[in-house]
Amino acid sequence: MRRIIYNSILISLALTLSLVEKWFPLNLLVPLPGIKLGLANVVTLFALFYLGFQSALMITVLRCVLGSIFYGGIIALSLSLSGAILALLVMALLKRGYGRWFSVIGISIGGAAAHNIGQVAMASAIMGSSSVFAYLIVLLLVAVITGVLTGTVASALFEKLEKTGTLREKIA
Amino acid sequence: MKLKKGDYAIITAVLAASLTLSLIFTGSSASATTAVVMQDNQVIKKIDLSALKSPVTFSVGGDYNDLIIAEPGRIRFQEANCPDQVCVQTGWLTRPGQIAVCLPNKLSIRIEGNSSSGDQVDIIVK
Repeated sequence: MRRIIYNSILISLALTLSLVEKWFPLNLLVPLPGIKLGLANVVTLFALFYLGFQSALMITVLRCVLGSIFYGGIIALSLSLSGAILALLVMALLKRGYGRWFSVIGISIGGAAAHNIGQVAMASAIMGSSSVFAYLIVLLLVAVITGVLTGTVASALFEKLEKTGTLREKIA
Repeated sequence: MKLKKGDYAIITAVLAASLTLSLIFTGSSASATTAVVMQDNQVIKKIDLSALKSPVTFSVGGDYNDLIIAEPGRIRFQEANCPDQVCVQTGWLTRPGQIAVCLPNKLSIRIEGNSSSGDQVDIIVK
């Protein structure tokens, strides 16, 4: 029961964050599709670390589906799903080396890059052409920056949570 | 903010991937350029931008309508009735390797270099 409540709170939080980041039109700075801060990734990271992979997957899928109902369509849905799921898989994989090899920031960068790769791969499948992969040249550069930003936010959040120290036991 | 060794490896890998793609796609940095307009993976128009003397506009149909304008040395999506307007926001394309896509209409414009000489590494930062 507690898990369901956490999941639904996190889904609405992720949706709110992706709405809020539309107020920071990064794509006016870099006019490419798929350019965004990726604040919702903080939620995915939190879910992955504190609720486990299953919850993170559920939150990610539902966030994409609901998000595309509010703003977007079937193309937007397939793009966001392919990006978000690939990002989640990569981050779950990198998390195995958390502490020893990677920090939250590194995992976040990996997720941001995977998100873009997943999106471009889907776009390429829709277009039936590989020329869209040219977008990745700039998208990956931006992913490093946005990955550091969202990773820093997540990292700060985790540190606060570790300090207060109650959450991990409560959910698990 | 403490980065670990693996973090630097991730950053390096992502940057290396970006550089590799720029090598593949940018090709020659020749000043002579051709715009290739593709829809559904079919070339529907090729325009030699360097040979162009005056602006040319044309529209492409499909699921949506796109108006494309080509000028000497550059080309862009001028107008589109697709929902996301990403293609229009991309703006002018001038250099080989640059691309603008209207995903809803499966339409893309890509710039290619005409001459094969002088292959130089060139990262596109718009």
